[in-house]
Amino acid sequence: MVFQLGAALLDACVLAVLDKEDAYGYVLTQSIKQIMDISESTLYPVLRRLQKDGLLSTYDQPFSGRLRRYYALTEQGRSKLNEYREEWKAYTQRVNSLLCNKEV
Amino acid sequence: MTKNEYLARLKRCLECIDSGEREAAVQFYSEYFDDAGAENEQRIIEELGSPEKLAREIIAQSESELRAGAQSGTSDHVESFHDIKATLVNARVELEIGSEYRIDVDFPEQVKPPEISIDNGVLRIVEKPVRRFFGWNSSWRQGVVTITLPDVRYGKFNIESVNGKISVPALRLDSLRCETVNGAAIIDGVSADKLYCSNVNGSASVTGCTVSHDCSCGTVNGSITVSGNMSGTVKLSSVNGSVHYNEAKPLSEYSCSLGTTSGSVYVNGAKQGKSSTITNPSATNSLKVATVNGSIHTSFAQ
Repeated sequence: MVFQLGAALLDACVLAVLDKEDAYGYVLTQSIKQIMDISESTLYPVLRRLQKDGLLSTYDQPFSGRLRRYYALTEQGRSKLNEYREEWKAYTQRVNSLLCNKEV
Repeated sequence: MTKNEYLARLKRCLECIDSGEREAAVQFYSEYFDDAGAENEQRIIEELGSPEKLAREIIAQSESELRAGAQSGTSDHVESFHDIKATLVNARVELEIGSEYRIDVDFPEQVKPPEISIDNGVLRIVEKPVRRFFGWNSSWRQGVVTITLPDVRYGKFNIESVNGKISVPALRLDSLRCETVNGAAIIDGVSADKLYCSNVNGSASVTGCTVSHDCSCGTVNGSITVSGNMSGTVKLSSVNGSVHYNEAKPLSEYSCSLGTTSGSVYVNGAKQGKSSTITNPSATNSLKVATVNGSIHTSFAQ
């Protein structure tokens, strides 16, 4: 990708994926990888941080004889995601108006 | 490399972080491999990069959390202990006599504070060396661990700090061992069966102490000062430092061996040869002092 990916945008995308449904590490990584150029190793520290900040919670579910750790949005995570959405809209509008000569 | 080998190496690389954090990270990647399926094992290993690189990313994250966390604390009303085992890296250790047991820790924000536990009467304080990947932090300062304890007789105190001074007040105990690389040891008024002090670039100051069996002090670049009432064997050695020894008992109770290469030797103010041996057949105590580039000053009760 030509454009640099910032930490906040990655956070926002992780929250957005989890807003649709709870997910475990592997699928979450694959979902993000579909839209962003991240390495497999990027996501764990991000998840850990979001969890520490109270934006995510985890729970374990048995799956073929082992446990899978699911990540879910907390209320705080949901309101943070809404904040990010507003920010993103305002930001992309400004960029669009300049870069694509679009009227705001 | 297989998945199991990869995870085992990752775990080893994460030795320096909190055990809960380590388990969580290893668990995450173990699940990740399982969910990706055995057919993708090699691809995942390639994409994740070496376990060392992955560990660095995880450590970087947990370090930045530490920066945000509270760093100083007091554990009031800690349970009693009779032994201390302290291993510190960049911290000064101060023992203080007080009415109750208390431990105060004051560490800079960017450093992980030491782990403290009391188990079976043994106080353990362990500061793990943090592997830094982001260069030197200009706001670096030394941590301080203050241990307050009542004046009762204790067992073994082993205190080590790489970069920090160790201070011990007038305590009674079986044995005291203080080791530093870059820091002095200030031991005053201690009464012990055994006292051992080793400093590479700091001085050893053992004043007003009573040691009944063994007193041993060694430095490379610091001076050694010992005063008090020492029985049994006293060994003091330094490479580049001078040695001052002031004994409460008369010389007749000691057999001495005093040697220096480029300094001078004094006994009760009188200059002796560079390698002097004083033998007292009735003496039960022995004093051995050796230094390469320092002088030796000894004085005994007259």
